[in-house]
Amino acid sequence: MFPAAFEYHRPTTLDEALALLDEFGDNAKLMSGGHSLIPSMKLRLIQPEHLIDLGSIDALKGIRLEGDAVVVGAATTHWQVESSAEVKAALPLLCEVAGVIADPQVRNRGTMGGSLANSDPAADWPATAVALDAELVCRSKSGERLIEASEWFQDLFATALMDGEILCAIRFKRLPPRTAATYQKLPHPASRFALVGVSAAVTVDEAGNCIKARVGVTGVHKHAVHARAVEQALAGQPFIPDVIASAAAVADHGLDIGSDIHFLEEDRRELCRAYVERALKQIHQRLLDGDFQSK
Amino acid sequence: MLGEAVPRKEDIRLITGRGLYVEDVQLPGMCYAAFVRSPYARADVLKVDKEAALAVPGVIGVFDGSEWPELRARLPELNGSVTLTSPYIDHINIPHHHLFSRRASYVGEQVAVVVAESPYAAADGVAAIEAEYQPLPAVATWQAAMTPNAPRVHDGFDNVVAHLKHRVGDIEAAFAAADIVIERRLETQSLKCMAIECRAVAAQWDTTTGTLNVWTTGQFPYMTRGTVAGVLGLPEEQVRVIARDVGGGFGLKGVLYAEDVIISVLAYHLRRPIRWAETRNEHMISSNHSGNQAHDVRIAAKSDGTVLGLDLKLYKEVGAYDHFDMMLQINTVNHLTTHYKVPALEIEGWAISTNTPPGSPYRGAGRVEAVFTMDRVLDAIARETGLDPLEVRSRNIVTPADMPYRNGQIYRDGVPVEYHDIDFPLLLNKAAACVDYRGWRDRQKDLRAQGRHVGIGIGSYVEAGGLGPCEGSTVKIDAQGRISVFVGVNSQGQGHETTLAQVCAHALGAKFEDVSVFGGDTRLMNFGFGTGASRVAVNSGNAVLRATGTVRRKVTNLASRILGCTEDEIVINDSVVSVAGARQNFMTLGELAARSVRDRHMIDLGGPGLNATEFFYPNTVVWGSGVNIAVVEVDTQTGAVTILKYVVVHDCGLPLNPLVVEGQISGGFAQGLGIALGERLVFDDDGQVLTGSLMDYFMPRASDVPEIEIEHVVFPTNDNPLGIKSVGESAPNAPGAALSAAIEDALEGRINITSLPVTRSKILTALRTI
Amino acid sequence: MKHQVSITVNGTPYSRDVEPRLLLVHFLRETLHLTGTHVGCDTSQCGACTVRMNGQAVKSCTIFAVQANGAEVTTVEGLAQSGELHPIQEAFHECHGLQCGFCTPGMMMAVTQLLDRYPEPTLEQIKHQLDGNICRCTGYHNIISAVQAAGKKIRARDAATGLS
Repeated sequence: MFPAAFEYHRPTTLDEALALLDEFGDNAKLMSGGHSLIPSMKLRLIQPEHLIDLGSIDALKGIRLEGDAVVVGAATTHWQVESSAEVKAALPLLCEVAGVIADPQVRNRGTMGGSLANSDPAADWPATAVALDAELVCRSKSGERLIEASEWFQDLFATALMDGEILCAIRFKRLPPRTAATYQKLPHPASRFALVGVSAAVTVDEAGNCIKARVGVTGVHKHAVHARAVEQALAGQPFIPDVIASAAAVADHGLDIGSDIHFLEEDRRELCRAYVERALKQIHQRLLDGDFQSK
Repeated sequence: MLGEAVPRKEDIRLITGRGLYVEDVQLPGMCYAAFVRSPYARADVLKVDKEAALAVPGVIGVFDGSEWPELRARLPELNGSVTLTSPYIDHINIPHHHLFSRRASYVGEQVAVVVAESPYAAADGVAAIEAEYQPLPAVATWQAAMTPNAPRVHDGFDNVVAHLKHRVGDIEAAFAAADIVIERRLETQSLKCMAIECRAVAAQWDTTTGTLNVWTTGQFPYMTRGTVAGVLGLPEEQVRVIARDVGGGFGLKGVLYAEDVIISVLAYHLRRPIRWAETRNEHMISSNHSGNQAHDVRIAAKSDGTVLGLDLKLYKEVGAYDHFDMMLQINTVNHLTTHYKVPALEIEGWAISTNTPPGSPYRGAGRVEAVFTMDRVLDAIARETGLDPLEVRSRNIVTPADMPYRNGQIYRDGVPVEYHDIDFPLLLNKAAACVDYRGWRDRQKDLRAQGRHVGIGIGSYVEAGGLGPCEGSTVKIDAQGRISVFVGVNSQGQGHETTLAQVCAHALGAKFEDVSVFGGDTRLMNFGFGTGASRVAVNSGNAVLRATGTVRRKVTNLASRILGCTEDEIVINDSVVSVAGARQNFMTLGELAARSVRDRHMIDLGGPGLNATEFFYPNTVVWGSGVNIAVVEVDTQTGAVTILKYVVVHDCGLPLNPLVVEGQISGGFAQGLGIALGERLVFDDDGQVLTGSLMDYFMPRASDVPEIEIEHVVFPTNDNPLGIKSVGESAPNAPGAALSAAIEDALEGRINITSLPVTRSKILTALRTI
Repeated sequence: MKHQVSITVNGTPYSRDVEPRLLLVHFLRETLHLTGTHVGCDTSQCGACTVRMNGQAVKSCTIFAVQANGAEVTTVEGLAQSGELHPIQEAFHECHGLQCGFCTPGMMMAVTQLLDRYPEPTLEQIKHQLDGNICRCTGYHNIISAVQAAGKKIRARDAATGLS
């Protein structure tokens, strides 16, 4: 309940933050919304000597449209995404995801950058970042790096972020016409993280054949990951119920799923398949309704 | 006033942030405590090195029990107050529970305490303690504890610390005559009460009054007072225990903890106010739990569905220290047959120590296990005979014609259980009608044809409440006409300040606004017992009634002399005392109270002032009862359970305040839902808590709790003047049984639910077998 | 090293020197003696510590006081104005939306945001927006009624004063 003592820094520019990171190295932690970090500190699971609060750096905030991409500042809160009219118009899937993260109070503080940098295997944003092949923009003293989402998430709570680097923004390419998408989440009964979370977007041609299926899952692997077997089973096929069912049936292939005190491996595999199916059926309905991601 | 749905008096301070919970106690010079706790379920504490901790800035001291003899005291053997011996128990041998022990017996047991200038520094101090332990083999489950050659939880004590036996009728004959014999192993989980407020204690040696003030979250302030006074060698009047606002109790705060005494002793010796507040993690690990329970049940029945006999072996985990003898098991036994006739019973029960925290009652206190058992038994008979579960219940139910009905049980107070002033068939039939049982049965087939799995389940409970020995109340009228009602109990949310004020206002003829209830302060009454076992409304309610009655007699007596009429002609209404037929001849209660201070007439009326203290001693418990019927849909792809309809029909006698009663049912239902579908405390084989936070311990949120329909049946009891039964521990009892039955029914009996909670994983696992 | 923070709470500015690790909830409770906001867990789930900060409902147990430097905070003590209960407080009282009262301050502060964002919330919206607040006593039914009643009161009041 009571964190260990630390020194607090609140840089106002990215360069200041990078300099502090450089100075304190392993003894420092970056803080964005703080809603993963502070709980860990309260339980003394981590005890950084220095905390670098990114909350005053304008360069990390804001959502903007850049050509065909929606660029979300890493320090953008989930609520800001959820309530953004711009995002709702350009890539409404993001609003749908934001609205089911944790609870309203957490959504007011937690940030997309914080979530992605933490790589909790049951967090919500990672599934969408992976599904949409988002690009993560990182800055260090040596310059800027772009990392693709599926390379970003490497292991439990481990990402491609390097020492001395700060995640600055996340670029989501807008989806093509005739694409419907959804995020289907089964909240864990206790933690309310995703027991399974499926972020999916399917583009079809005029005949209803799947041109591209993008399916990202969270909660069922050591980090968010493409459900490649599903994507491959759908590609080029008519996007119809039978095909959807077959694709969903292989949703758990290639996923490293374990058991814990709440759910057995087989439970999770079944739920993964069920929720992929749910997501695909929802997309199917949205395509019929003309409820596309790009208007 | 009685039976009126008046909004609560206590709300105003609570909704404006002016409640006084223990952690709100802030006194000049206050210091803060944090505990060092054993990381092992069983270990010798070899060394507690204080040096590094003492060097931490802000740390005042570290104490491990060696400093003062009082810190080596024992907690009371049995939980004092409301625990009574029972004729069922034939063996009991319980180890003593010391404040600090050199042998830790559960993960989380206190080993030392750090005192510091701030809670942050106290936490730093705890982190800096270097303690050495010699871990020993531990038993984390009752099954492990009962295996031959299992490690002993306590040296010199058998792991079975108590044993009971009870028999009714002729069980051998019952099985000999049976057409059907069914055997089941039923299991229920261990739970934490999960009040939103964790435990806390504050204490202060007040040099201005020579009193030790102790603020506690406990449900039994007089037990705290008695123990602390005894340990410190102080007269009880020099210890004042205050439990003003408590953020939920639910039984787990109804036991005296070592921390309560340790903090008091530290305040006394350090001569500084001191406060300790448990963290949630500490709560999950070191506070008491309800204990896992298992039943081996054998039922003898006839092919027409009537029950002939029930043989029960009852295994109950009581944790490392048993503070409740066999109270929870005895409650299970005494509530076992619920609404039904079981002519023969053979019961044997074991209280088994494990290296887990001590066991405590959790709202229901053994009743949930009883209801789960009886309803599963009846559903099993339904399955065997092909009869509808409602029909099986109707064939076994105790009817008004059978009343007064003695089922052969003997309550913990030694009085044989007798049902009267109850109508079980009415409850069952009303619930069936309300839920539209027949309609759902008819629709079930069509729904199945559509691929939807809908099921119906019934749970029936009884709730003994109002356990003695007694409670008291003092009622006083002051010169301004304000009426104070003192009681020896405290509220953890039950609305005493309102319901008891209603009783007094009603009985006196006073304005409700003029009545204030004060409890949770041992200064107010000489004796009190506590809040638990659904006893306050009956005991304190009737005590308030009696005390008010005595005050009323003083009022009519004195007023008649002053106003010049007979006592029968005195009318009291809206706090005004007048003469019938001559209402212009009046005094206010306040004016009368002022007169009564010096008036010599009071020589025959017990002395100055319009006040009286009375106690109410119930003869035995009263029996609330009810039926829950659930309609659920099971998604066989995801194991999700959706409650389509849920009906609660209950009888708590006369409801003092329907708002409060419905609130108790609504809240109790949510807890029952948790018990049914997901709450559980899990230990690993080494006694480590695996569900150590809200990240792993399921608690219902608003989106988890469906709307329920509540139907009241009011069958006042003649057992007490107010006609009230109890309701506090009614609602959590039946959802486990009703929902289990409904889920099984939804899957057409192809799965067998024999344990709680019915988690999604259990459903998915069961679905994979069919 | 301590930092000086300036935080306005319920309209009153405060300036204090605090350790960086001091949580906002402790700043409110222990430094400012506003004990209406409560601590109920240590994993940022129960919501008993909810306050409004710069207009948003936040969990004060998951924010350091230093992060709140310069902020405007409203706690339960700031709900009633000029001795008049806030419509949400009135509604909780009238609908019996509290029993032990421990979760109630945080619950009501969350409801202030709920009704700001969704002035006429559906049942589903209410349940979803209360995901961050746990109650053990009431079973939520009366809390939901209180939210609905409070919404009506606020809409009526705003209509009467010409606001919307």
